Amino acid sequence: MPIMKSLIELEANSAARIKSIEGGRGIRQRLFALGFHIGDRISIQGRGAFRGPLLVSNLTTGTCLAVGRGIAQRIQVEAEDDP
Amino acid sequence: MTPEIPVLILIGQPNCGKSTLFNGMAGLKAETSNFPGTTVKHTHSQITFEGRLLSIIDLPGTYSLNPSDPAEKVALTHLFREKPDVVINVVDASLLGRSLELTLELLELNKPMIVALNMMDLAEKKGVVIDTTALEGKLGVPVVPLVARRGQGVKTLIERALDVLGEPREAPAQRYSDDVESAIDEMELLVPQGFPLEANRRFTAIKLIESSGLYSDRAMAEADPSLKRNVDRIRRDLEAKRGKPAYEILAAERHHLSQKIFEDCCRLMTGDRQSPGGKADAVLMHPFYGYLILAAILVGFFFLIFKVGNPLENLLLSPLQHLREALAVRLGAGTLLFHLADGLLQGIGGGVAIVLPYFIPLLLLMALLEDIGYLARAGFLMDTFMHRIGLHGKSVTPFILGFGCNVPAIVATRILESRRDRVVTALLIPFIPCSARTTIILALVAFYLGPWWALGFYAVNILLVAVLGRVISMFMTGPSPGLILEIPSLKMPSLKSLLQKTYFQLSSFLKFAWPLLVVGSLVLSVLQFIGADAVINAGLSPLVVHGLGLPRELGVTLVFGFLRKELSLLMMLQALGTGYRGLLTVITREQLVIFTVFVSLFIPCLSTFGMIWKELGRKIAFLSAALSVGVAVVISLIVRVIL
Repeated sequence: MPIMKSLIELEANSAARIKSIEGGRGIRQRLFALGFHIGDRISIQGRGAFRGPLLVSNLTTGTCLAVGRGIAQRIQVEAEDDP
Repeated sequence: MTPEIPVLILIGQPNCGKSTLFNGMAGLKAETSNFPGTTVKHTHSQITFEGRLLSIIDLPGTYSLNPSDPAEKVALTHLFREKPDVVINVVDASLLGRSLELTLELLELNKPMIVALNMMDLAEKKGVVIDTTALEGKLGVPVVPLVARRGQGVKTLIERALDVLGEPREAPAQRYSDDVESAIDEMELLVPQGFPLEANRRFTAIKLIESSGLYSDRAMAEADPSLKRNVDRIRRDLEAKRGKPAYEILAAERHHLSQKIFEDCCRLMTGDRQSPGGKADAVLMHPFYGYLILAAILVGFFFLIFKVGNPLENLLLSPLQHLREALAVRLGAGTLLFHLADGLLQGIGGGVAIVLPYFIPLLLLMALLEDIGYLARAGFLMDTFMHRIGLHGKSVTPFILGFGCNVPAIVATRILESRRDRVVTALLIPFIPCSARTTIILALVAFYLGPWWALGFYAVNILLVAVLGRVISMFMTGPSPGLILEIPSLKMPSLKSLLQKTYFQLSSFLKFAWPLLVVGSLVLSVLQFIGADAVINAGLSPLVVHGLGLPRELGVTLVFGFLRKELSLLMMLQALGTGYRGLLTVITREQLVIFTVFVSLFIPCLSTFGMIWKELGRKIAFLSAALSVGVAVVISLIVRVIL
């Protein structure tokens, strides 16, 4: 049974699917434009120290983004089962 | 019909190599780098290709045709304003899936178009094999693979662009889902004749459906209420059917279509797609080693520039000093002719001997950082600290660029989405020691007091920026979206690009700043000869002598420092009537530090001031000037008390 959680709670290097993005149009449209869409497979590549941003790699489109924690909190993902 | 001078426009997502391609096509015109959003202005060039005159335009990178920051708005505006005869869509082949989303939007324009599939080498390295013939079939436009960095395929690209010139294009081969298509069809019929949007009815219809809540939407409501009602109805129907906002439906449609084309035309030679340079990035952005490397890079740069610049400076200064002494003997020390000759010598010689030894290494190293793609990584590392001063990681790029020159740094604030972030960043940039001030710091503080003093100077300066940021943020609240920053793949810098970029900056120094240095020196010479400098010095003496404790002769140099910061350094020597080597005989080490502090901070130089005015308005420009003067006086006084 896959569990929903926010991107910020996702463990490093485990894949998940983006289920929803909360927030205003500006942020959502920005994420879409940068190649992060609902349904994409992503994984966390790293976390900045001192509550820094997350380094998120999009496995579907091959792009990589630094996402601040405030925004990461609003991205809900569904973790895939551990292989 | 083919136009006499065809206009070719380059458009693509940030960091896809447009500027590199543009440089390859046009020679040394635009700057490139490995950071999303370096080209924030559009650049024109005319070239001759096989005896034919062509006009080429490079636009800022844009992720989509729904702009979300000022640089993207420039791209959209110019895409229409320039009336291109051929649209060259530059695509990063290693990110084809995502890049195609913009391609699909561009196809809707129905203009003669060609896809430049750039960075084929990088795609290959990532294990992405692209069937360009299949891609051509899917998109209905020519696709030319190239590696712009090495100049491969550029000629073919221009040839094929000229082939499609003036050819009317079929309607796009790719279609969205049926419900979306029928909404677009219905909307198309409702677009009135002469509706003020460029391109064709279909493109206009799509943009109308997408643009809810935006400015254009409100303008339309006022101009044509019945159209607005129809748009709203169509949009509402679609949104009800899909259960999400219209802009999201169209974004998702493009995404799925792009992924489908990508899957049909590409094979992946590896399994899961890793971010390239994954191992290097794991270290570069490591929570501990990342900062260690960042600090090492900055300190290393400093010492490298100092170690290269210092001996060079010494080497160049001795003959100048001899020449100066010889002139005094030959022309007679008090004559107008000597004053003029001396001013000329100080201006020309100072430019060569003091500015260039530090300036060129700094430019080269900055170019290296940009091209590798390190700036985005620095943004990632510094984001958390930037939050403490009310900004986020995206402002790091303008800041780092500011160490080179404040002027492009101000322009680079265009990559920030919110105006509030732009204003705060632009107010802080003039406090970043640019290359001109680095020259002063190295030539005065490091040269006379040792490199550690200079490094300390930098540390205090950066601390000052942090404190000021915090203070400014207390007064400037406003929406500041969090960080969303693309981390581009690390790229091997090419020597050609580094040299091009350095040359580009250097030539603007030689053309603009150096003459100013020479003229400034000459003017000061004349002022000294007729005794007018004494008037200015007397006027400024309450501040200079009583406030800062400096020799009153330095008053006039501060005025010239507004033109160019280096001028203050050159004119300081001239005003004190001494050569570079004899400086400490006329002023003390403390005075030297106070002078450097004041000159570094006291006002943005003329070009920076002008750029702030242009980018953010008169109010912000004067605010910045007032802030600088205030801060410079306060900090200089503090330094005076401490020392």
